[in-house]
Amino acid sequence: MENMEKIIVEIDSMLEELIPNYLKNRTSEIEELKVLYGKGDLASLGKLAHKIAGNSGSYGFHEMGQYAKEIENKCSEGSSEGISESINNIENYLANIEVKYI
Amino acid sequence: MSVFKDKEIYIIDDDESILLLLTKILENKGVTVKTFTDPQEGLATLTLGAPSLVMLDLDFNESEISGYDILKVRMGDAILPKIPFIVFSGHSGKKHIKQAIELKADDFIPKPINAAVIQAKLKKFFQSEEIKSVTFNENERPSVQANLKGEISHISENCLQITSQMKFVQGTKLDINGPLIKNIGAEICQFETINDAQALDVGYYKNKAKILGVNNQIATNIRRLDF
Repeated sequence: MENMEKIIVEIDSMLEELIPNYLKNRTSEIEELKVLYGKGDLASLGKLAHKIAGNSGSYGFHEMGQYAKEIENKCSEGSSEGISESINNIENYLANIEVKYI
Repeated sequence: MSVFKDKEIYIIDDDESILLLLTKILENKGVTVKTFTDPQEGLATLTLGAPSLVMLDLDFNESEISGYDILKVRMGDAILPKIPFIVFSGHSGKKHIKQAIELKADDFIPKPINAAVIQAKLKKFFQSEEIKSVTFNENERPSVQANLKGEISHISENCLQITSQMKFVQGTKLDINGPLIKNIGAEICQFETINDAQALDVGYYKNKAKILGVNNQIATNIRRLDF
């Protein structure tokens, strides 16, 4: 995994008690993304990516939402090109974010 | 008094993280929330309960039914159309919005969810409901001077339409009070039903009444209303 600078994400303090569990669940979904990609199951991969895209932005993790959207779009096109990179981007993002509550 | 007071909202979405998020946003405003990850369970509970409003996701990953199916069931039901439905989806293209509107959704919110947008839409929704609520009684039959609740479903410079659980015959004089009547300065007006009440769904009637005593200022205020 690349050693990246911390990514500071500002999140509404109203959501503070939800964030640790939210990030834990997204981290465990990375493995599921990799398994589905490895199987070539673009239908299921697209559905999971759609879910992550929807909830990431809602919580304030817009960059992760964008990567998930890329995966969703590729799956709906029937193309696996670039998906591996997007999954890596999500993994790096989660490993390097620092939440600042505002 | 907050417009969110005493409101109960049902939320149906198979993504638990969205349910947690919306619950936090709404409970922060004093709303009581009931959540469902299983749309079938949500639909079954809806037919038994009476929430103030339903928030419904249109896309369910694992379910046999979609949010669009729930909207169709609602359209065919006698009571459910009276409960406002705000739908949301990660698919927010024109055709998705159009389909939701054709299925009588009251509003569409695209994902990702924005807390401020949700709060503003709900506030506007509940404020609009409050303004339209009225109490009225027949003033020609003193023995029946109970206050009745209704909702103004239409108003123009010479008549208004009230939906309620009471039916009146043509020519009944009504004494109508409520925030909207006060806002337009129509407390000085008299109201008299134009025709016999029309039956709507089970237990509800539409009463149309003429407004007498509308002056220029009241007429201007009515024209400015967002009806």
